[in-house]
Amino acid sequence: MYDVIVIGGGNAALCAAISAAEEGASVLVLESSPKLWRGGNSQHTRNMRVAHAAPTRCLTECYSVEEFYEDLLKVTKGETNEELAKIAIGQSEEMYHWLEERGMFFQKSISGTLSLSRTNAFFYGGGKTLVNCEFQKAKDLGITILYNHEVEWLNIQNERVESLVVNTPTGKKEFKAKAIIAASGGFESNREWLREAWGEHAKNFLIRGTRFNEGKVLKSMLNQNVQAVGKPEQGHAVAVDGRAPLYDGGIVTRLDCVPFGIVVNKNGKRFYNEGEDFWPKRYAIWGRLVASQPDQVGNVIIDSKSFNLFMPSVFEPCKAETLEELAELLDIPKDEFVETIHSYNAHVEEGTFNPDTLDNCCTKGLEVNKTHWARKIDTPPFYGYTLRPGITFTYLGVKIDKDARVYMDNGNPTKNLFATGEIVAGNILGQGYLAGTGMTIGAVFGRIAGKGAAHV
Amino acid sequence: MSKILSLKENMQVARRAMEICNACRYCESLCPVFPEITRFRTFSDHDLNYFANLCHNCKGCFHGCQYAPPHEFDLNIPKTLAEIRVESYSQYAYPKAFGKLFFKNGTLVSIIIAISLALVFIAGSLLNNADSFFSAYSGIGSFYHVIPIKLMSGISMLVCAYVAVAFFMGFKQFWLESGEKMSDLANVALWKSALSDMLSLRHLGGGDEGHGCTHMDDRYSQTRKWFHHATFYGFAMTIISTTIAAVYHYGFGWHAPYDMASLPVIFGTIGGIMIVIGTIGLSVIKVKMDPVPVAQQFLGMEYSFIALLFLVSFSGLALLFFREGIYMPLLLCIHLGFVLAFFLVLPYSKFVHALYRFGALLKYAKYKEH
Ligand SMILES: Cc1cc2nc3c(=O)[nH]c(=O)nc-3n(C[C@H](O)[C@H](O)[C@H](O)COP(=O)(O)OP(=O)(O)OC[C@H]3O[C@@H](n4cnc5c(N)ncnc54)[C@H](O)[C@@H]3O)c2cc1C
Ligand code: SF4
Ligand code: SF4
Repeated sequence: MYDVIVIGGGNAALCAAISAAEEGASVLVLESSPKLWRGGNSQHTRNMRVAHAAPTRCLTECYSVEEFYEDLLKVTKGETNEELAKIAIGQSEEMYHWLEERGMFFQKSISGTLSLSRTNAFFYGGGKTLVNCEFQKAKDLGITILYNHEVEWLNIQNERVESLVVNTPTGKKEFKAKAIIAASGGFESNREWLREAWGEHAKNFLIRGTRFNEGKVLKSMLNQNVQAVGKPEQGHAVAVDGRAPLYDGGIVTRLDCVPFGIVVNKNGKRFYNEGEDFWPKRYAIWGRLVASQPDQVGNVIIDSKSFNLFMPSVFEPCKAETLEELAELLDIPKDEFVETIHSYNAHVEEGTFNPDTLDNCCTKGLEVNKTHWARKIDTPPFYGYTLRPGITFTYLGVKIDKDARVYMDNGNPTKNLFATGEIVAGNILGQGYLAGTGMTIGAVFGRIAGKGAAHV
Repeated sequence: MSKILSLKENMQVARRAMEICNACRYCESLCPVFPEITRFRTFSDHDLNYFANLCHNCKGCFHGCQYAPPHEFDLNIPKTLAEIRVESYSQYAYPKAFGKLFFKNGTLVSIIIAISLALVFIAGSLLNNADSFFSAYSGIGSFYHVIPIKLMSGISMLVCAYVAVAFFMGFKQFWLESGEKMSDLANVALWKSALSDMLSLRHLGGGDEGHGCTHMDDRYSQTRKWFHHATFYGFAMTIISTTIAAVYHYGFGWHAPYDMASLPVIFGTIGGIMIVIGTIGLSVIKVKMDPVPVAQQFLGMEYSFIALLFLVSFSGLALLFFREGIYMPLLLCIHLGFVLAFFLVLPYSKFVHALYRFGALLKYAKYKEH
């Protein structure tokens, strides 16, 4: 029998496994994906948020613990567990060094992300390289890793996990350990559950990350009176290119051109101020906005003036010399579409266009005005990109304390169950999202959970 | 095994890959290729040839790519670039008609070895009778009993001149096609940067990060760098050894074989041993590495070059060891045969990676500041 079983194979799970093994425990990792798909959502990440008192090799200036906490309060509107948030933030710098000492590397912020170079440490080669190095470290520590092992049920009796029921390539099996760490992510890839929680329209959502986060471990716990945090209908969704794959589209499917054009729905109508604020501050609301449109589709329209203003996209845009042709390519009713563009153009107030500031180019007198970067769409060729909501992750999770220990509904701590990562993120992120905190939470509470589980 | 793509298909695959990387950029610190990509929005065949030669084939961007197979984007950049790279060698080859040799490198090398060995043996036996071919010679000038010095040096000069012309023409084509001017080469700063990258194998060592590269699987280490260093500097030492020997011979009239404690022998021996170690190490890596990010169809080229380098060094060491005995003439002929073969195939072997990679580093030096 192993001392510790870790469920999952993403960043949170591996930090927990490494930490438990370093405490002397024998550790087994159960990962539901095959080896080639390993790494969960963590393989798609690029950075983690790190407080630091002075510049490091990869982080510029200083980012104090207090400022990090204030940023968190801003995005969550105060909905956070202060004690846990301060642990995650307070240990973030230590964690950065902890990872580095164990063979995980960081790089300077990658081009196009200068705004994050002070607050976020970028993983060398991205999240997949990070996860690969974590797996190598786990191997060096003698940790056993079983792929294609999906935990289906936690057998919880008297606040203790007695065993795990696991789907393996050779059938269902039972696994036992002195302590269990759940690090199996959210339920964002479970379409059935998403439909239940988010409504019928969730069927048209794309999943930006792994197909393996089905939330079976979460469900099993919640079905056995483990205390929940967050609500099932909460999640992080952004607008992505409509042609992205159903799963694992990751970072490259984002479209940064919305502020430079207009967005119309499938009926050719605008529905929201495209120039409300800088894109990094607004991209997360567009998932919801597009989700509430008919068929959950939007179309960004730009003209050739704006084509080189944003990060290149992976998919070729629809391109046409006339608006009518573009409408046809995008499958939007021609007359309405042309009418929308004309009326938009007619209401554009000329200003001084500047993509780096909240400039004075805007429309006046429209039902939905565009408040910045509004320029006439009049210079062919015209381009169109289809938008769809892409889910990053869900917030529903389990409650933990400062030792990453899981609690029961009745307020009692479980005896041998710990959790970390996305499955506990809701403790700290009551709502909203602050870039890079997902990985910080997983790493910090992973290390804590590993330590705790090793000494049960 | 996956299907082998035509050059045109490969260019298309690479172009698509570059577009995806340009939207992703996670690999920006892995090597110079990724920061260079960000200068472009569209990619011509010449740009892709440049990237292919700028790639040092570490495979880090395969193991660390979330779009590698089984993902439907199916990115396999090291393999795609390796295929384009070999195609580019063949396009730059001089004379043009010999470019095809890159695709049949294993056969080419075996044939050239056979011919070279035969030629040296024929020469050896024409110039000696059966008795003297298996006799122990000793003392100054003993090698030249077997093959006269005039013949040896005459042929080597001819071959060297040929190699130099072929290299120059190939390099020129690479440089001009990549959009640079020959006059850019007057910029000393470019040479300094590229030379320092090459001599330190900076990128194989992990660039600024300094933790090495991946090679057999997804683990980062310096192993490949050290074996490459052994091969490279071992080769450099044998060249130094030969150069000193030539100076001794023509400058001072001191004739081979030289003392064990003489400079040519010391450099030659240490160099030879380093090459033997380096080539064995590099071969072991190739045998054990994950086959997926590798252009399997061109492995023959790599193995045959490494093998030839090994044979040259090993036969040289054997000759040194047994030079007083009756096998000296035999070993000398074998060694000279391998050396001749090595230089004959040089412009059509894996060796040219040094040439074009160096060119790519020169070009990279020009743009990296921006
Ligand atoms: C495209 C994208 C980009 C992102 N970028 C960032 C970023 O830059 N910075 C950041 O901080 N956050 C980012 N996030 C969020 C981040 O991915 C998560 O916060 C983080 O990965 C959570 O780590 P984890 O280990 O808990 O989950 P995961 O990495 O998702 O790991 C969960 C693992 O559990 C396995 N699993 C699931 N169910 C079972 C089961 N029943 N049995 C066994 N195993 C199971 C899964 O296969 C998976 O490997 C991003 C998310 C996405 C989708
Ligand atoms: S190889 Fe993959 S991870 Fe690296 S930049 Fe390209 S798409 Fe991104
Ligand atoms: S294989 Fe290595 S050198 Fe080549 S492109 Fe990828 S990371 Fe760069």
